[in-house]
Amino acid sequence: MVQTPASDDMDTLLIRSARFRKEREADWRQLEALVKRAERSGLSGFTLEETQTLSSLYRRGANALAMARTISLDAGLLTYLENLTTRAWIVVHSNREPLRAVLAGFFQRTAPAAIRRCAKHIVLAAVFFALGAIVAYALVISDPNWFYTFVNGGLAGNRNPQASAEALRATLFSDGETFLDRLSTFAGFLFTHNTRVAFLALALGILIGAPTALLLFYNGMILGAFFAIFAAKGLAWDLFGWLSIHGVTEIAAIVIAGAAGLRMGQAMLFPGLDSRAHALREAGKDVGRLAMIAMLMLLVAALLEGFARQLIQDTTVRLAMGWSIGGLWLLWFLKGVGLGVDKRHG
Amino acid sequence: MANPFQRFLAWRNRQKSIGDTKQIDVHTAEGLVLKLTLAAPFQRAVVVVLDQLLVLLVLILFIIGYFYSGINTLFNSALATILFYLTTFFLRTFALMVQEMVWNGRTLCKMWFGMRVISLDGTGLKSGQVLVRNLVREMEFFLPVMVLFGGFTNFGFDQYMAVAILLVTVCTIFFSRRSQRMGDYLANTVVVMDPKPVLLADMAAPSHGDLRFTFTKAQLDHYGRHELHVLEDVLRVKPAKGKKERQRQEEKQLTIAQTIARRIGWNGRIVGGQVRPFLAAFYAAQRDHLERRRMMGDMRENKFHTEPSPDEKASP
Repeated sequence: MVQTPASDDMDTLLIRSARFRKEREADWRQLEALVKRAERSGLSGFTLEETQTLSSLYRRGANALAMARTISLDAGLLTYLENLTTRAWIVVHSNREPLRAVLAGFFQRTAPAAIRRCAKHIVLAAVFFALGAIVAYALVISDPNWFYTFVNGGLAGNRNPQASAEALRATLFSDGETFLDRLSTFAGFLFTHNTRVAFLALALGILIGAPTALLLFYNGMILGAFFAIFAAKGLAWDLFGWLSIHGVTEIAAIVIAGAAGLRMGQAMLFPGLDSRAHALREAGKDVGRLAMIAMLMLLVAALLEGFARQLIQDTTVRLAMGWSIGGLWLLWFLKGVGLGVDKRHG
Repeated sequence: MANPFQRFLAWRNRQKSIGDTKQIDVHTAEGLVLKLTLAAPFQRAVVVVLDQLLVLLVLILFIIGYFYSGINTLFNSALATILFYLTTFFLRTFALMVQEMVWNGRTLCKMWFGMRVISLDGTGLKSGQVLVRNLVREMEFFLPVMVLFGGFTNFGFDQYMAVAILLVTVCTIFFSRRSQRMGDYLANTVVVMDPKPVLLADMAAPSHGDLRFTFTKAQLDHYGRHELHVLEDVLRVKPAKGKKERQRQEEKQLTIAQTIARRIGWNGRIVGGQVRPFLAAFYAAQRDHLERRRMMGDMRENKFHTEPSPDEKASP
C-alpha cells in the first residue's frame, strides 16, 4: 500500500475505497497513456524502460482490479479498471513473433507435422478420388457414352469420344505459344475449375465432411473419364505425361484440401470425450495449415501448367519433372527441414 | 459515438434490455478473469461486409487509375486482364487477414465500430489464428454466397450445397454461447467490443462528511449493492438542458430522495435545493457502510439481504 499522508485532512475525510482510488489514479492514467500509444504506433517504438514500466503498471493495474472487486462498490471505477486492464492485457500479449519466424516455423515444423498428423485423412481423401477415377474409367471404356454423364461440355472442350486421335494429340502437344499466352494460362488457372474444387472440398467439410467425399469422388470420375477416351486412342501414356507435369502437384493439393475438409467433419461428428468446441479448436490448427499448403501447391501447379507444360513437349521429360516435383513435396512433408516431430504440439 | 450508424446501434441496444448484451469471462495467462462484451452477430456481419466493400473500393480506384494514368496503352489487353485477376485475387484473399495481423485483431471497419478479435486461450492473438478465421470465413460465407449469385439462371446441386453451408454458418453463430462462427471455433477466437477505459468521477469523494446529513448505522442497513449502483447512476445523470426537462428530472430525484428517507426513517425534511446534496451524502455514507460490511464477508447483494449489522443486534 502506498502511504497516505496523515496531515492531509481532505484525505482522512474520504471513505476507504475513494482513498484507494486516489492513491493509484496516477498509475492508471500513465498505463492508459502507454496503452493508447502502443495501440496507435506499436510496441517497437518503446524504449526498454518504457516496456518495463508498461508491464509493471499492467501487473499493478491487474492487482488493483482484483482488490477493487472485493473492496470497492464504485461501479464507475470497477468498469474503468476492468476495461483498462483488458486493454493492457491485449497490448502486453500482442503478437511479437516476427513474420520471418512464423514463416520459418511453418516450413520447418508446423506444416509437415500437420500433414503427418492428418496422414489418415489424406489417404482417405485419395482413396475417394482414386475410386471415382477407377469407376469412371471402367464405365467409359465399356461404353463411351458414359463420358457425357461425367464431364460437362465446357470442361471437355473438343476432347470427347468422337474426337480423332490427331485432334486429341493436338490438345496435349502444342507449340508457337507466346510468353503472354502462358502468363494468361497461369492467371486464368487461379480461377479455374480445379482451384474452385480445392476450395469447395475444404468448405464442404463444414457439412460434416460427407459432401467433401462426394466431391472428391466426382472429380476423380472426371479424371477417369478423360483417361478412358485418350486410352481408347492409344494416347494414355502421353496424357499421363501431360497431366503429370502439373497434375501431381495439383491433384495432391485437391486431396490435401479434401483431407482438411474431412478433418473438420471428423471434429464435428466425433468430438471424442471433450466438447465439440474443443475438438474444433484442435482441428483448426491442422485445417489452417493444410489449407495453406494446398494454396501453395495450387500456386506452384499454376506456374507449372502455365510455363513448364508448354515449354516441355516431350512426354518422358514431362513425367520425370512432374514426379520429381511430387517427390520434393513428399520429402518436405516427411522430413520438414531437418527437424523431426513437432514437439510443441499434442 | 463517432458516426450515425454507431449511434443507431447504440439506440438499438438501448431498446433491448441490459440482460441481452452477452458478457463472457476470459481467463488470462496470469490467472485473471476479465469480463468482455460480445459483439452482436448482426453488427459483425455489417462490419465484415463494409470491410469487403472497402477492398472493392480500393480495387475500383486501382482500375480507374490504371486507365487514366495511361498504363493501359503500354500493355495489351491480355496482360491487363492478368494484372486485374491477380490483384483481385490477392486483395480479396489477404486484405482482411493482413489488417487483423498488423493491428492486433482489428480491421479498419472493426476499429471504426469499436470491435476487435481476441484469443480465448488467455494470451495474445497469433498469426495462425488470424489466418484460420479469415480463410474459413471465405469458405463458410463468401464462397457459398458467390455460388448462389452464380445460380440465378440454373439452380443446381452447387446451389443447394451453398444454401446448406450458409444455413450451418448462421445456425452455428446463433446457437453459439459466445457468438462464434465456424472460423472462430477453429481458431479459438471471439469478437468483442473493444473496451474503452473512461474514468468517471468518484461520486463519493466530494460529499462525504457533509455534516448537514448524517446517518446512523441502523439507517444504512436497508439497502444493498444493487440499490447503491442504481443511486450512483442517478447521481451521474447530468442536469438536463431544457427547463421543462430539468424540472421533471428534479421531481424524479425528489421522489427518490423521499422514498429513501421514508424507508430508512430519516427525520429531517428535504427541501428543494437539498435533494442532490442529500442523495450524494446518502450515497457516500451507504457505500462506506456496505464496503465495511463487505470487508467482514457480508456481501449484501440487494435490499432483500436479511442480516442486520452486529451493532443493531447488540442494541434491541
